[in-house]
Amino acid sequence: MAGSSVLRSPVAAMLRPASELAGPPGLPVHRDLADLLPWPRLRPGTIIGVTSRAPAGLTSVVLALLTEASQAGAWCALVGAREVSPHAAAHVGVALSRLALVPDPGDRDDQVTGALLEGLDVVAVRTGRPVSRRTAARLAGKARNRGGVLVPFGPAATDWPDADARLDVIGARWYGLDTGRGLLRHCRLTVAATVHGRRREATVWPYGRPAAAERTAPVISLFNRRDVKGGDPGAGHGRTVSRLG
Amino acid sequence: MRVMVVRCPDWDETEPFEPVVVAVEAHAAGVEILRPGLLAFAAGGPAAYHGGEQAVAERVIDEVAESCGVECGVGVADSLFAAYLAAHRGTVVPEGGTSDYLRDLDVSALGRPELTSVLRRLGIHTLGAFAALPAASVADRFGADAAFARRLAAGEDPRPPVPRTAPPDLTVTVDCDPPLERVDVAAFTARALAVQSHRLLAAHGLACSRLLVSATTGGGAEVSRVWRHDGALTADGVADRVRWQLDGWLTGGLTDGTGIVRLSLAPDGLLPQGEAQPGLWGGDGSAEARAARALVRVQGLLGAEGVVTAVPDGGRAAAERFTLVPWGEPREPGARHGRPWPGALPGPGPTLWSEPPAPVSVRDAAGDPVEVTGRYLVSAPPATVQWGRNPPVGVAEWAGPWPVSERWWRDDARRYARIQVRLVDDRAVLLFVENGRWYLEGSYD
Repeated sequence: MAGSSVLRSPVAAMLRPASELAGPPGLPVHRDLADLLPWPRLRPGTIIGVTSRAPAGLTSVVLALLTEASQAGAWCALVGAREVSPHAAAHVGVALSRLALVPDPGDRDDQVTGALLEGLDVVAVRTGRPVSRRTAARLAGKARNRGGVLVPFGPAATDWPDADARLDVIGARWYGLDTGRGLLRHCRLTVAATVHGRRREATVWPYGRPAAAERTAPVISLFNRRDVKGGDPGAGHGRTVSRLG
Repeated sequence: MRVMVVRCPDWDETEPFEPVVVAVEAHAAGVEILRPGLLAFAAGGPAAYHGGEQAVAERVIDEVAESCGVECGVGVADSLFAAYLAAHRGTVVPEGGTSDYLRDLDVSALGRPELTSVLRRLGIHTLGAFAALPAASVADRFGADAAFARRLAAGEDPRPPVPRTAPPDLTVTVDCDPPLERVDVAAFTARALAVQSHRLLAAHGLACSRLLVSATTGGGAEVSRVWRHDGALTADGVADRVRWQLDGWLTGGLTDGTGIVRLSLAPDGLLPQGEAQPGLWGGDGSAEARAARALVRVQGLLGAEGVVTAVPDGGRAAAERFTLVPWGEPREPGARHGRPWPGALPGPGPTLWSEPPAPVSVRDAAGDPVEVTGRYLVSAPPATVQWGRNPPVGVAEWAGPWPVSERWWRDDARRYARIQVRLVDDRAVLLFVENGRWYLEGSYD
């Protein structure tokens, strides 16, 4: 053919083809959560259950799980979480253009979750009722076949069969308020991960870590310790104590 | 929108269509070619100018007959599809009468033989009966293309042409040296350019439903034409259209023998590739296409409103900062996005919002209700918060009140104040007080 094709715009030179997004397998994950998982990335085909024994922190951890993946261009969905605020999701760092919300799947939640796993990369599902072993196996199969990550969260996620990892929020503390002054700014979560029977703990700051000066605020809340040693406030003597087993 | 379609029956695709386009353009602007033998334009402007749609139709028919010696049929309706069918009979479908017009037509009019035979077996013979089926069930059973066809049958204008201006960097250009003069060489160039355009769009996850073909002749003249398609164009589709257009220009004597020295393709009517309706580029297994199929399937289960995406909007309350639009609609930021909102709280918002706001009771250390004065001062520091049937929970820390005064110049003016509270059980909540009553706006979970 005669002539040559020309792309003149400098913008064109900066754009990368989508294929270059494919790096090492798996999706990037929030750095604090990467410490907890046995893999530094969200591994395709896995199930990560998220629960909370603390009075707060569940939603923040689920949103934190979606941040890096959605920013890297992965397609994410949040199912059955009508009350979750997109504003907060954006603040944690979720790319909203990559997040599909299915606020009200009703009693079709299993069917919807299955359909989403056919095409999306990360599917977070709020579970109100225990899932049957058969349904769990079907969803796990879909996640494995299609390379999706399934994140059941909420009370019933505790007993989710075949979960590859379980994250449990065991302590939550908000910082920034004072008597009549200040503003909620940082949230420190203590999250315990159980992977194949092995347990580890880490601190997660979903909204970023406070600067050093701000950290002089009280860091130890007795109520963080509530779940350790049978829910006895004050147990643990101000240190993080892992429950064994 | 009123659409006029001009159809030349039994048009031979190898025949240049350009002369007909030129003839129609004598009476209408913004002509879009659907395929050789078929073109469309918005009827509103020409009808106002010539005094009615009927008058425009007559002028167009006369002009095409006179300057090209070709007979054509003209149809007018509220949707492109209906206007196309009307053009077969030379009908002007009255405004608002489009769904009535479509109701009794046979399902074969959809031009989808497989779908037609399925529908016939189900006992559905007319477009009206097809349109009466629930949209969600159609999408679920028969897939996205059938859902699209159902919308056509219902007289809706299909969504895809969301006109967005193509960024200049998506335009592909080829300089032809020596100039293009022969149709067979032009076909070769068209093919290469189409593939290049296709690759560039696909790399950005986009597809186009409209294509602007422009050429510069050896004599320095510039010409261009718009080709439109209902749905995303495939690479082959683009190549065909470029070839047809070049054919028209070269055989129509446009170039005066100087040939075409530069050719460019500007995709328009851009669709995110995944959201494109029937006929994705090549129907590949890209992540976007897979995600789109999964989401369309869920929309089939729950209805279009069942899957939404959050688009930023402006506002002070957490619930006002985003609007939820059905997945697949354009993500245009709300009109109020980006404006300053005095009274909006900085920092992380509540992760869970309470909809509607739940009434709560806020008391001070003495057990008296906490009040906020007209000058936004609290009567006493809050000591406990209680909602539902739960026992009161102690307040560990709190901040505020932050005043909000909305639309004070209007009848629906709202004036309220908010406080952030960290409870002793480590929950954190956002409360507001309006007309002396406290409510839970959201919680920081």
